[in-house]
Amino acid sequence: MNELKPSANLGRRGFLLAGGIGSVGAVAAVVAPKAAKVPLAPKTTAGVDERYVAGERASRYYDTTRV
Amino acid sequence: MNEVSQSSVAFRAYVSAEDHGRANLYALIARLFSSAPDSALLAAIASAAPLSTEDDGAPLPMAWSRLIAAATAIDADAVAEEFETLFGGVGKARVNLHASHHLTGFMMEKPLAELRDSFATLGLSRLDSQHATEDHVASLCEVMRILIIGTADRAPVNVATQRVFFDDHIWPWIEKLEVSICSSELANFYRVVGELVGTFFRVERASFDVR
Repeated sequence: MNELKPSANLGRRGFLLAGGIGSVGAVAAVVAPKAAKVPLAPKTTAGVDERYVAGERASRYYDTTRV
Repeated sequence: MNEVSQSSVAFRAYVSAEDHGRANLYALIARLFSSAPDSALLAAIASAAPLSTEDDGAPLPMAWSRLIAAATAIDADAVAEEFETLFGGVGKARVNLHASHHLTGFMMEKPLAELRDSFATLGLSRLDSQHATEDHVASLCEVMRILIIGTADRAPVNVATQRVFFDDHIWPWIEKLEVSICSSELANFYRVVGELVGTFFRVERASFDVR
């Protein structure tokens, strides 16, 4: 099996194309839409920070645990 | 002289052919791990042409050819049974498809929390209708597809951002998944899929180091 070592004089595009990404991906483009879309696709929520923020009740609980 | 309203002119971000190729492979892998391929998908894979590249014997085209051969030889009912046997039942699946399990031994652990932080940073979230957690391999592949080519209402992200997401959430465990699938004596069609996945992600990892 060929080693996957990046060559110093081979750019990223060249590396991907030589590795077969272009041709395999072109065929995959024909194949992938044959079936239903992946139901795991994330929806975009640009600008909305959904990281966990402790609510009032949780904050009160944390206050009771302070020593 | 006609004036062109600025608002009427919109340009989509340029996405190169090889990035479209990457996105398509991510889409296919996501599809193959979200549910078993139906007969139409198997027939499409089976009818795909073998590939040749400048580098004869390159691992990815060889793995692709093995997938074509496997799709030609197997029928949809057999793959559906194999999928259910290997991946069916969260928590009791023979092969678990979630990052958190492979990294910690448990579901819904710290890697999932870190992934949700990354989702928030990237402006992404799980569909309300989706029951699988975000660290499912199909979900991660779908995120990579979106990062690479964007969607109708969001632009692609640069390679550096793709690399961070890949290195943080995919690369640390994807070869464990490959080994888990390929070493299972119950795997048949999915052994070939597992080899393709491992090969593709090694090309991805190596490509991120090329300037």
